[in-house]
Amino acid sequence: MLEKKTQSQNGLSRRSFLKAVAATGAAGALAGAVGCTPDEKEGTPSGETAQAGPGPGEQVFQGVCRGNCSSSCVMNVVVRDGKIVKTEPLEMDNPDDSRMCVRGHTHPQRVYAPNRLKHPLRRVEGTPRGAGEWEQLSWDEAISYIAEKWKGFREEFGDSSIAYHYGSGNLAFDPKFTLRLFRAMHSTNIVQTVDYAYCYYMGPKVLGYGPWFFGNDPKTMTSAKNVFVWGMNPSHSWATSWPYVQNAIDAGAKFVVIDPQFTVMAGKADQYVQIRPGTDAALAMAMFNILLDEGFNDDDYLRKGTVAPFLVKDEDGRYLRMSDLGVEPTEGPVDPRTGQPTVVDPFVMRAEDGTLGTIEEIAEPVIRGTFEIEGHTVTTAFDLLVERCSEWTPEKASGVTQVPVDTIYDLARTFADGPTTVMLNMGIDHLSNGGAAYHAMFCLSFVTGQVGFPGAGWTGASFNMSSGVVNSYATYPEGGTPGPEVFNQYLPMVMETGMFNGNPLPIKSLYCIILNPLVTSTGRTEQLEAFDKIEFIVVADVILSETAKYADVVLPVPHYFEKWDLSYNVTPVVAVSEKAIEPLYDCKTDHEITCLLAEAMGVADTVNMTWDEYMDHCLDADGARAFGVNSWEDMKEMKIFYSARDGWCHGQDYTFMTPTGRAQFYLEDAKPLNDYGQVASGEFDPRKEALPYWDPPVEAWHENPLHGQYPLQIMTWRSRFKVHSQFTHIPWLLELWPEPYLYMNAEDAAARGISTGDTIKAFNDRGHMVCKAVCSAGIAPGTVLQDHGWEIDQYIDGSLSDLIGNNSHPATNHMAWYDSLCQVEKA
Amino acid sequence: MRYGMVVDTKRCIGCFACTVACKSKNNLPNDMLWNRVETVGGDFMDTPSGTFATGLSLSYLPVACQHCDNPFCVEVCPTGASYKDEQTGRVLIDHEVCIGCKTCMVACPYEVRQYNENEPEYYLDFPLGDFDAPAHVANTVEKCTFCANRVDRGEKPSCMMLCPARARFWGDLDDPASDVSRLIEGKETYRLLEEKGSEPNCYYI
Repeated sequence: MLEKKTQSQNGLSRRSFLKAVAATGAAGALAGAVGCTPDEKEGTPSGETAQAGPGPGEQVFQGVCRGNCSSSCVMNVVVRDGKIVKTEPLEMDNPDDSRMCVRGHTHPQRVYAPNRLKHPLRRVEGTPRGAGEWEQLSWDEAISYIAEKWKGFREEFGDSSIAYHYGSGNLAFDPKFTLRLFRAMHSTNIVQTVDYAYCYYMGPKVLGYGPWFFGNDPKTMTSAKNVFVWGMNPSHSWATSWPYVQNAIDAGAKFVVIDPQFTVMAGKADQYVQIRPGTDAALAMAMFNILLDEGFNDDDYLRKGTVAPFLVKDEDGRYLRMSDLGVEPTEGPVDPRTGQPTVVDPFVMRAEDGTLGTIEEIAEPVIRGTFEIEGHTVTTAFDLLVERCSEWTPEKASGVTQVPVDTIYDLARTFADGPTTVMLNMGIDHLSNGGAAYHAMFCLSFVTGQVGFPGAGWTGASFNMSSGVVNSYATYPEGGTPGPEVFNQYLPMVMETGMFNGNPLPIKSLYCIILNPLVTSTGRTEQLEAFDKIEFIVVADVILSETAKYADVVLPVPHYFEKWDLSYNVTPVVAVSEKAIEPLYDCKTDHEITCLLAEAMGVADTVNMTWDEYMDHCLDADGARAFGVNSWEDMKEMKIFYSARDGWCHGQDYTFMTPTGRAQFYLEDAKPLNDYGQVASGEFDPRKEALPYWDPPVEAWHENPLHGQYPLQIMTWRSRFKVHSQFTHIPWLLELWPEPYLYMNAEDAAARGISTGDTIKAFNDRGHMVCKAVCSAGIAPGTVLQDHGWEIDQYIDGSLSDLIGNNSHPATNHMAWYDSLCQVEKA
Repeated sequence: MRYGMVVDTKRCIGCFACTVACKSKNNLPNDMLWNRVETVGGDFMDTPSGTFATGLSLSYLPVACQHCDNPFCVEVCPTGASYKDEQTGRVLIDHEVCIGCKTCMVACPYEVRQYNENEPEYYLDFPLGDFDAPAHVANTVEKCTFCANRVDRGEKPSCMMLCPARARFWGDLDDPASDVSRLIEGKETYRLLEEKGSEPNCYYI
């Protein structure tokens, strides 16, 4: 148990120590000298990285830890006697950006892990998948075996019969090279939809990408009067971002936390607001109404920074354009992606006096009103937003969210008394209805004009992928038309029917790269059934992951520090990860494996490049040249440079990387990310998706009839000790947190006769999980909580993933880890 | 000189980076912790005290050897293995003198001393961490050294190696210009179990 692990050995329990301490004031402040208050900033030595030179016989390399945790810390990798013996944080130019979390210290145990793959393996013929019977292959044997299978499938079933499934376990360029092969072969892309509602739907559509993803440089939070951490727990999921919040608090910001669970952040908040899971959109729309009713709207901002003055045609929901007024569209510059000229058909604005014209022509367009123009009934986009939100009175929202009416007023007024930064990440994404919640939440900043300057706007996950530093076409081989795209939660449907969106899709082989979907994706039971129907599964990984165990062929790939690479999501820097040691065992990089496979498949001409050529190609970008990087050699020499602009505020100067160039709270021509047929069937309604709304979650909702049988909502948190399933077998971390626990609300547990430490069984129609319980006062009633990422062999029986369904949303098509119900009983 | 440490518990988020930095750089044996992080709240890690209705409370308390000025462990040690280094203020253990009687473990009110019953075991077959990491010896007691090896060659203790929350501070309490002295000067601080008279050199804010 956790208690035992932190208990001292002298027979006194940990509790007695803490009780003794509490008596003297550890939990509160004990009397001390009170006098002048020195500037806290004067003494922050722990903010330094305290690097000394290497010790005797040691070499130091720069490495990047680059799983998908939103951080990607750059570190010094120390090699002694040919072995990686420790990692230390690298001191960044701005010490506030130096970072390394608990996991970063454990890389030697990842490099030399006992579950490392050492050679290519093939499942012994005649043994079932997952039985653990392997035969060792040479690389020649492995490659020719795979190529022979693939050639047969392609010949008989076509290009799309080969599918690839790409994850986020190594955010760098070596695995990305693999994409060239599958694009050249027109293979089917099985997309793992991690965080898609936020990162790939609402974020880009409403806010557009920016150098800090969808937000400000978090260092600008020190200018905030209020910081709302909403649906995020940076202390666990993104520990390295916490100092930015703390700095804002030190600078005087009010710290508001909105979360269903009482998190570490809630413990530090000036105001903690508990909300029923999956109701954030209702809260945001009620706050929006209060802001408007009480006159906190900033019409000038709405007019200049958002689509508020755009006129939406009643008949089709599209914007009124000059062509609607009979002005012929003109040709614009050539689109580099299509090679075709763009069409310029300006949006129509309306002045107060009824004058119509383009954005450039109408200085003060109206943002309210419905008009008849040239036979079209049009309404301003802002009026449509106001109308859409209007049903959400504070009273109605309170009923849904369980947030008291007074608190909703209080939150809105605090928000208006800005600048207010909203810090958000993926918590809200993980319910099926999360996309629309972000949509509504963004509108609070729009309506109050709190966008584009320090202390306002949003901050949260930041990735460098959009900063233009790398050539995003480097992974597209010439002539490589991408094949079909299927989001992972629809793979079971494809395997069941052989069809996708009305077209035959006979998938025969799946190649998994940098992901462990049986653990980290939703719908494990359905997924396994789908896997059973796939004839040939290949997994390339560093370790024998749970998914690798279900493969037919497993290919060993080196750890991050055994190869050269460039990490692209280390915002605010671009950093080289150096090869500190030679690849262990018989591992090959993803680049090497791809070249061998491309050769065997006869597509080497279009796919293959040497590593140096490929990296030159990746860095063939104006963004890189702007920093003096003209080649991979330059980059290796430079090693690291700041690419994201310090102090950047998303939407500054009223500009957004969206099709309209504005903040788009109205989504013209809304489309789903993955069309499995919901557009034709009408399940997807573009008019509804154009604006925020609230629908209950698909499954995890108290009014769902299933709730009677399974009254507990399963939620998960992103542990400080894992990045999805990465680090899950690291011994040092297992000493601190040895096994999965199901955290339960103390009263829910008591009602089931469950005490902390009891073995429990959580179950629903999909499956079950047996593990130990921890009863906590901080877990929301009606929910159970577990850290995500444990593999099935770490449970007493079953696993968390066995309980999670593929509930998703017709627009955002993302995985919803928090949208499943279960029952729990003492095992 | 009197080395000391300050932990700002308002900043600390219980991330355990200090725990594992210590474990890694000191090449600690399996199941050995010199620097633990207590949950201050409910009975188990990450659980708060209180109720939603009445209010909840949750914070963290990193605890390692407090390097006391009046160390009870030294007082009770029958062999002199535990000693106070008057030059630096560190409380240290000479493993060549320690007989593993564990008397010090009972005397220490902070429960930070750990006993190697057998030959220490490690997950890997080569030493990790600092080249000069301390030895770990069977039938001896060990604990935090304030990273004497690192500090004596000009580095900071490993737990000070970039606390992600910037909650830890280190320096010479006898030097009024040191980071720790300036930080606690005029601040409301407390020390753990101060009433016992051990005179710890770790301060909490």
